[in-house]
Amino acid sequence: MSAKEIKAELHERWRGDSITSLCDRIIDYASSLPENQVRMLTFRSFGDAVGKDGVDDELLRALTILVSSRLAAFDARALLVDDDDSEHELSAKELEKARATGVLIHPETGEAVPDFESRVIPFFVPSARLRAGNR
Amino acid sequence: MNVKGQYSLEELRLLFRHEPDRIRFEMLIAADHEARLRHVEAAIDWIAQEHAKTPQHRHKRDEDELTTDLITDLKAMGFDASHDKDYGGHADIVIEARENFLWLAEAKIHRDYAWLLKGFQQLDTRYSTGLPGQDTGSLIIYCKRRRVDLVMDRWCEELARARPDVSITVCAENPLIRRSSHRHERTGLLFRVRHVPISIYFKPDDRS
Repeated sequence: MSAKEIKAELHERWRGDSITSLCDRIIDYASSLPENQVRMLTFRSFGDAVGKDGVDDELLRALTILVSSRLAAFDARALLVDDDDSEHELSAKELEKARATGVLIHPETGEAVPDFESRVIPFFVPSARLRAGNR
Repeated sequence: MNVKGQYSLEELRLLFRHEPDRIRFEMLIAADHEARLRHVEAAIDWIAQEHAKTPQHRHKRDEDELTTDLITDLKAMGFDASHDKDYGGHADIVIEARENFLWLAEAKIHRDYAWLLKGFQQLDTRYSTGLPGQDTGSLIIYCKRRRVDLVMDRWCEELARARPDVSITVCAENPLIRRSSHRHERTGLLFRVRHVPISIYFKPDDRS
Protein backbone atom coordinates (compact mmCIF):
# COMPACT_ATOMS: atom_id res chain seq x y z
CA MET A 1 0.00 0.00 0.00
CA SER A 2 1.41 3.39 -0.96
CA ALA A 3 0.85 6.85 0.48
CA LYS A 4 -1.38 7.48 -2.51
CA GLU A 5 -3.53 4.44 -1.74
CA ILE A 6 -3.75 5.31 1.95
CA LYS A 7 -4.86 8.83 1.01
CA ALA A 8 -7.47 7.42 -1.36
CA GLU A 9 -8.83 5.24 1.47
CA LEU A 10 -8.78 8.24 3.81
CA HIS A 11 -10.80 10.35 1.39
CA GLU A 12 -13.28 7.56 0.87
CA ARG A 13 -13.84 6.98 4.59
CA TRP A 14 -13.84 10.66 5.65
CA ARG A 15 -15.45 12.07 2.52
CA GLY A 16 -16.43 15.72 2.89
CA ASP A 17 -14.53 16.11 6.17
CA SER A 18 -12.02 18.96 6.20
CA ILE A 19 -9.67 16.90 8.39
CA THR A 20 -8.54 15.04 5.27
CA SER A 21 -6.39 17.94 4.10
CA LEU A 22 -4.40 17.92 7.35
CA CYS A 23 -4.09 14.13 7.16
CA ASP A 24 -2.82 14.49 3.58
CA ARG A 25 -0.16 16.98 4.70
CA ILE A 26 1.01 14.67 7.47
CA ILE A 27 1.28 11.73 5.07
CA ASP A 28 3.08 13.87 2.49
CA TYR A 29 5.50 15.13 5.13
CA ALA A 30 6.37 11.66 6.39
CA SER A 31 6.64 10.29 2.85
CA SER A 32 9.03 13.06 1.83
CA LEU A 33 11.54 12.38 4.61
CA PRO A 34 14.62 10.25 4.04
CA GLU A 35 14.69 6.89 5.85
CA ASN A 36 16.98 8.11 8.64
CA GLN A 37 14.61 10.94 9.56
CA VAL A 38 11.42 8.97 10.00
CA ARG A 39 12.61 6.93 12.94
CA MET A 40 11.03 9.30 15.43
CA LEU A 41 8.07 11.42 14.37
CA THR A 42 6.71 13.22 17.40
CA PHE A 43 3.74 15.43 18.18
CA ARG A 44 6.22 18.31 17.96
CA SER A 45 7.62 17.30 14.57
CA PHE A 46 4.17 16.76 13.08
CA GLY A 47 3.04 20.10 14.51
CA ASP A 48 6.07 21.90 13.08
CA ALA A 49 5.57 20.20 9.70
CA VAL A 50 2.01 21.45 9.36
CA GLY A 51 2.74 24.93 10.76
CA LYS A 52 1.24 24.62 14.22
CA ASP A 53 2.75 26.07 17.38
CA GLY A 54 1.74 23.08 19.45
CA VAL A 55 -0.73 20.23 19.48
CA ASP A 56 -4.32 21.28 19.01
CA ASP A 57 -7.59 19.36 18.66
CA GLU A 58 -7.28 19.25 14.90
CA LEU A 59 -3.79 17.74 14.88
CA LEU A 60 -4.78 15.24 17.57
CA ARG A 61 -7.81 14.19 15.57
CA ALA A 62 -5.81 13.84 12.35
CA LEU A 63 -3.21 11.68 14.10
CA THR A 64 -5.91 9.57 15.74
CA ILE A 65 -7.33 8.85 12.31
CA LEU A 66 -3.94 8.08 10.76
CA VAL A 67 -2.73 5.87 13.61
CA SER A 68 -5.75 4.17 15.16
CA SER A 69 -8.10 3.66 12.22
CA ARG A 70 -7.81 0.94 9.62
CA LEU A 71 -5.57 3.30 7.66
CA ALA A 72 -2.80 2.45 10.16
CA ALA A 73 -0.40 4.80 8.37
CA PHE A 74 1.79 5.11 11.46
CA ASP A 75 2.64 2.93 14.44
CA ALA A 76 2.83 4.33 17.97
CA ARG A 77 5.99 3.83 20.03
CA ALA A 78 7.53 5.47 23.08
CA LEU A 79 10.99 6.45 24.20
CA LEU A 80 12.20 6.29 27.79
CA VAL A 81 14.82 8.94 28.46
CA ASP A 82 17.07 8.48 31.50
CA ASP A 83 18.55 11.28 33.60
CA ASP A 84 21.83 10.83 31.70
CA ASP A 85 19.92 11.25 28.41
CA SER A 86 20.33 7.62 27.41
CA GLU A 87 17.32 6.41 25.45
CA HIS A 88 15.39 3.15 25.44
CA GLU A 89 12.63 2.41 22.97
CA LEU A 90 9.39 0.96 24.34
CA SER A 91 6.71 -0.80 22.37
CA ALA A 92 3.10 0.34 22.58
CA LYS A 93 2.38 -2.83 24.58
CA GLU A 94 5.13 -2.08 27.10
CA LEU A 95 3.78 1.41 27.56
CA GLU A 96 0.21 0.13 27.87
CA LYS A 97 1.28 -2.32 30.56
CA ALA A 98 3.17 0.37 32.47
CA ARG A 99 0.19 2.68 32.39
CA ALA A 100 -2.21 -0.08 33.44
CA THR A 101 -0.06 -1.14 36.38
CA GLY A 102 1.43 2.26 37.19
CA VAL A 103 4.89 0.72 37.08
CA LEU A 104 7.42 0.91 34.26
CA ILE A 105 10.27 -1.55 34.62
CA HIS A 106 13.47 -0.16 33.16
CA PRO A 107 14.47 -2.35 30.18
CA GLU A 108 18.13 -2.47 31.27
CA THR A 109 18.27 -2.10 35.04
CA GLY A 110 15.10 -4.08 35.70
CA GLU A 111 14.10 -1.53 38.32
CA ALA A 112 10.90 0.50 38.50
CA VAL A 113 11.29 3.92 36.87
CA PRO A 114 10.08 6.67 39.22
CA ASP A 115 7.69 9.22 37.74
CA PHE A 116 7.95 7.44 34.41
CA GLU A 117 5.32 9.49 32.55
CA SER A 118 7.58 12.55 32.69
CA ARG A 119 10.44 10.50 31.15
CA VAL A 120 8.50 8.85 28.35
CA ILE A 121 8.07 10.50 24.96
CA PRO A 122 5.41 9.04 22.66
CA PHE A 123 6.42 9.01 19.02
CA PHE A 124 5.40 7.47 15.72
CA VAL A 125 7.01 5.66 12.83
CA PRO A 126 5.57 5.09 9.36
CA SER A 127 3.84 1.72 9.35
CA ALA A 128 4.75 -1.15 7.06
CA ARG A 129 1.67 -0.18 5.04
CA LEU A 130 2.96 3.31 4.41
CA ARG A 131 6.56 2.26 3.93
CA ALA A 132 5.64 -0.43 1.42
CA GLY A 133 4.74 2.10 -1.21
CA ASN A 134 7.78 4.26 -0.60
CA ARG A 135 10.39 1.61 -1.22
CA MET B 1 17.44 11.11 18.24
CA ASN B 2 16.98 14.62 19.51
CA VAL B 3 14.48 14.40 22.34
CA LYS B 4 14.89 17.92 23.66
CA GLY B 5 11.71 19.93 23.46
CA GLN B 6 9.51 16.90 22.80
CA TYR B 7 6.27 16.37 24.67
CA SER B 8 6.46 13.82 27.45
CA LEU B 9 3.56 11.52 28.19
CA GLU B 10 2.86 13.57 31.31
CA GLU B 11 2.71 16.83 29.34
CA LEU B 12 0.43 15.30 26.74
CA ARG B 13 -1.90 13.99 29.41
CA LEU B 14 -2.15 17.47 30.86
CA LEU B 15 -2.77 18.93 27.41
CA PHE B 16 -5.50 16.40 26.69
CA ARG B 17 -7.53 16.71 29.86
CA HIS B 18 -10.86 17.39 28.15
CA GLU B 19 -12.62 14.02 27.87
CA PRO B 20 -12.95 13.83 24.05
CA ASP B 21 -9.26 14.77 23.68
CA ARG B 22 -8.26 12.29 26.35
CA ILE B 23 -10.14 9.54 24.54
CA ARG B 24 -8.58 10.47 21.19
CA PHE B 25 -5.12 10.41 22.70
CA GLU B 26 -5.70 7.09 24.44
CA MET B 27 -7.05 5.59 21.21
CA LEU B 28 -4.00 6.90 19.40
CA ILE B 29 -1.58 4.99 21.63
CA ALA B 30 -3.80 1.95 22.29
CA ALA B 31 -1.71 -1.19 22.02
CA ASP B 32 -4.35 -3.87 21.62
CA HIS B 33 -8.03 -4.59 21.11
CA GLU B 34 -8.89 -4.55 24.82
CA ALA B 35 -7.51 -1.03 25.08
CA ARG B 36 -9.38 0.03 21.93
CA LEU B 37 -12.58 -1.39 23.40
CA ARG B 38 -12.12 0.62 26.60
CA HIS B 39 -11.75 3.82 24.60
CA VAL B 40 -14.75 3.10 22.35
CA GLU B 41 -16.82 2.50 25.48
CA ALA B 42 -15.52 5.72 27.05
CA ALA B 43 -16.49 7.61 23.88
CA ILE B 44 -19.99 6.13 23.90
CA ASP B 45 -20.39 7.05 27.58
CA TRP B 46 -19.21 10.61 27.03
CA ILE B 47 -21.53 11.10 24.04
CA ALA B 48 -24.44 9.49 25.91
CA GLN B 49 -23.88 11.88 28.76
CA GLU B 50 -23.75 14.87 26.41
CA HIS B 51 -26.91 13.79 24.60
CA ALA B 52 -28.72 13.22 27.89
CA LYS B 53 -28.06 16.89 28.72
CA THR B 54 -30.27 18.06 25.86
CA PRO B 55 -33.39 15.86 25.92
CA GLN B 56 -35.52 18.83 24.88
CA HIS B 57 -33.84 18.72 21.45
CA ARG B 58 -33.85 14.96 21.14
CA HIS B 59 -37.03 13.44 22.55
CA LYS B 60 -38.97 13.89 19.32
CA ARG B 61 -36.26 12.49 17.10
CA ASP B 62 -36.59 9.06 15.52
CA GLU B 63 -34.18 6.17 15.85
CA ASP B 64 -32.19 6.94 12.71
CA GLU B 65 -31.79 10.61 13.63
CA LEU B 66 -30.59 9.78 17.14
CA THR B 67 -28.12 7.24 15.77
CA THR B 68 -26.85 9.65 13.13
CA ASP B 69 -26.13 12.17 15.92
CA LEU B 70 -24.14 9.54 17.77
CA ILE B 71 -22.13 8.56 14.70
CA THR B 72 -21.43 12.20 13.87
CA ASP B 73 -19.98 12.72 17.35
CA LEU B 74 -17.91 9.53 17.14
CA LYS B 75 -16.47 10.64 13.80
CA ALA B 76 -15.69 14.07 15.21
CA MET B 77 -13.62 12.32 17.87
CA GLY B 78 -11.60 10.56 15.18
CA PHE B 79 -13.31 7.18 15.25
CA ASP B 80 -13.92 5.38 11.97
CA ALA B 81 -17.62 5.14 12.68
CA SER B 82 -20.33 4.45 10.14
CA HIS B 83 -23.77 2.96 9.71
CA ASP B 84 -23.61 1.81 6.15
CA LYS B 85 -21.24 -1.14 6.39
CA ASP B 86 -22.61 -4.43 5.19
CA TYR B 87 -21.65 -7.09 7.71
CA GLY B 88 -24.42 -9.64 7.35
CA GLY B 89 -26.67 -6.63 6.86
CA HIS B 90 -26.37 -3.08 8.13
CA ALA B 91 -25.62 -2.71 11.82
CA ASP B 92 -26.69 0.65 13.23
CA ILE B 93 -23.18 1.67 14.31
CA VAL B 94 -19.93 0.20 13.09
CA ILE B 95 -16.55 1.23 14.46
CA GLU B 96 -13.49 -0.15 12.78
CA ALA B 97 -9.89 0.31 13.84
CA ARG B 98 -6.46 -1.02 13.05
CA GLU B 99 -5.62 -4.70 13.14
CA ASN B 100 -9.17 -5.69 12.17
CA PHE B 101 -10.84 -4.31 15.27
CA LEU B 102 -14.59 -4.25 14.74
CA TRP B 103 -17.18 -3.03 17.22
CA LEU B 104 -20.87 -3.07 16.39
CA ALA B 105 -23.92 -1.60 18.04
CA GLU B 106 -27.61 -1.86 17.59
CA ALA B 107 -29.42 1.28 18.71
CA LYS B 108 -33.10 1.09 19.54
CA ILE B 109 -35.70 3.44 20.92
CA HIS B 110 -37.29 1.54 23.78
CA ARG B 111 -40.91 0.95 22.82
CA ASP B 112 -41.21 -2.60 24.14
CA TYR B 113 -38.87 -5.35 25.28
CA ALA B 114 -39.42 -7.48 22.18
CA TRP B 115 -37.95 -4.61 20.16
CA LEU B 116 -34.86 -4.53 22.36
CA LEU B 117 -34.53 -8.30 22.13
CA LYS B 118 -34.69 -8.03 18.36
CA GLY B 119 -31.78 -5.58 18.50
CA PHE B 120 -29.76 -7.92 20.70
CA GLN B 121 -30.44 -10.89 18.42
CA GLN B 122 -29.51 -8.90 15.32
CA LEU B 123 -26.25 -7.86 16.91
CA ASP B 124 -25.45 -11.37 18.09
CA THR B 125 -26.68 -13.62 15.31
CA ARG B 126 -26.79 -11.46 12.22
CA TYR B 127 -24.01 -8.85 12.26
CA SER B 128 -21.20 -9.93 14.57
CA THR B 129 -18.48 -12.29 13.45
CA GLY B 130 -17.49 -13.30 16.98
CA LEU B 131 -13.84 -13.37 15.90
CA PRO B 132 -11.02 -12.08 18.12
CA GLY B 133 -11.06 -8.29 18.05
CA GLN B 134 -14.63 -8.46 16.77
CA ASP B 135 -16.18 -10.08 19.81
CA THR B 136 -17.70 -7.07 21.53
CA GLY B 137 -20.56 -4.71 20.87
CA SER B 138 -23.30 -2.70 22.39
CA LEU B 139 -27.03 -2.43 22.57
CA ILE B 140 -27.81 1.27 22.86
CA ILE B 141 -31.25 1.99 24.25
CA TYR B 142 -32.74 5.43 23.68
CA CYS B 143 -35.18 5.83 26.50
CA LYS B 144 -37.96 8.38 26.10
CA ARG B 145 -39.80 7.07 29.17
CA ARG B 146 -39.29 7.89 32.81
CA ARG B 147 -37.22 5.74 35.23
CA VAL B 148 -34.54 4.37 32.99
CA ASP B 149 -33.36 2.26 35.94
CA LEU B 150 -36.61 0.29 35.89
CA VAL B 151 -36.42 -0.10 32.13
CA MET B 152 -32.93 -1.60 32.43
CA ASP B 153 -33.99 -3.93 35.26
CA ARG B 154 -36.93 -5.20 33.26
CA TRP B 155 -34.91 -5.47 30.06
CA CYS B 156 -32.38 -7.70 31.77
CA GLU B 157 -35.14 -9.91 33.16
CA GLU B 158 -36.59 -10.26 29.66
CA LEU B 159 -33.17 -10.96 28.14
CA ALA B 160 -32.39 -13.60 30.76
CA ARG B 161 -35.74 -15.24 30.08
CA ALA B 162 -35.30 -15.24 26.29
CA ARG B 163 -31.60 -16.11 26.33
CA PRO B 164 -30.69 -18.33 29.27
CA ASP B 165 -27.20 -18.74 27.82
CA VAL B 166 -26.44 -15.05 28.49
CA SER B 167 -24.82 -13.92 31.76
CA ILE B 168 -25.68 -10.39 32.83
CA THR B 169 -23.93 -8.12 35.33
CA VAL B 170 -24.36 -4.53 36.42
CA CYS B 171 -21.54 -2.24 35.27
CA ALA B 172 -19.35 -1.33 38.25
CA GLU B 173 -18.94 2.29 37.13
CA ASN B 174 -22.53 3.03 36.15
CA PRO B 175 -25.49 1.16 37.71
CA LEU B 176 -27.69 1.95 34.69
CA ILE B 177 -25.40 0.05 32.33
CA ARG B 178 -25.35 -3.74 32.04
CA ARG B 179 -22.75 -6.06 30.63
CA SER B 180 -23.62 -9.42 29.18
CA SER B 181 -21.58 -12.28 27.80
CA HIS B 182 -22.27 -15.59 26.14
CA ARG B 183 -20.68 -18.07 23.77
CA HIS B 184 -20.95 -16.82 20.21
CA GLU B 185 -22.80 -19.28 18.04
CA ARG B 186 -20.37 -18.98 15.14
CA THR B 187 -17.01 -19.06 16.91
CA GLY B 188 -17.66 -20.43 20.38
CA LEU B 189 -15.70 -17.47 21.77
CA LEU B 190 -17.10 -15.23 24.45
CA PHE B 191 -19.20 -12.44 22.95
CA ARG B 192 -19.55 -9.39 25.19
CA VAL B 193 -22.30 -6.83 24.88
CA ARG B 194 -22.61 -3.59 26.82
CA HIS B 195 -26.19 -2.41 27.25
CA VAL B 196 -26.15 1.38 27.41
CA PRO B 197 -29.27 3.47 28.02
CA ILE B 198 -29.44 7.07 26.86
CA SER B 199 -32.22 8.86 28.66
CA ILE B 200 -33.91 11.51 26.55
CA TYR B 201 -37.07 11.60 28.62
CA PHE B 202 -38.38 15.14 28.62
CA LYS B 203 -41.46 16.17 30.51
CA PRO B 204 -40.82 19.27 32.59
CA ASP B 205 -43.41 19.93 35.28
CA ASP B 206 -42.99 23.68 35.31
CA ARG B 207 -45.68 24.25 32.68
CA SER B 208 -49.31 24.12 33.55
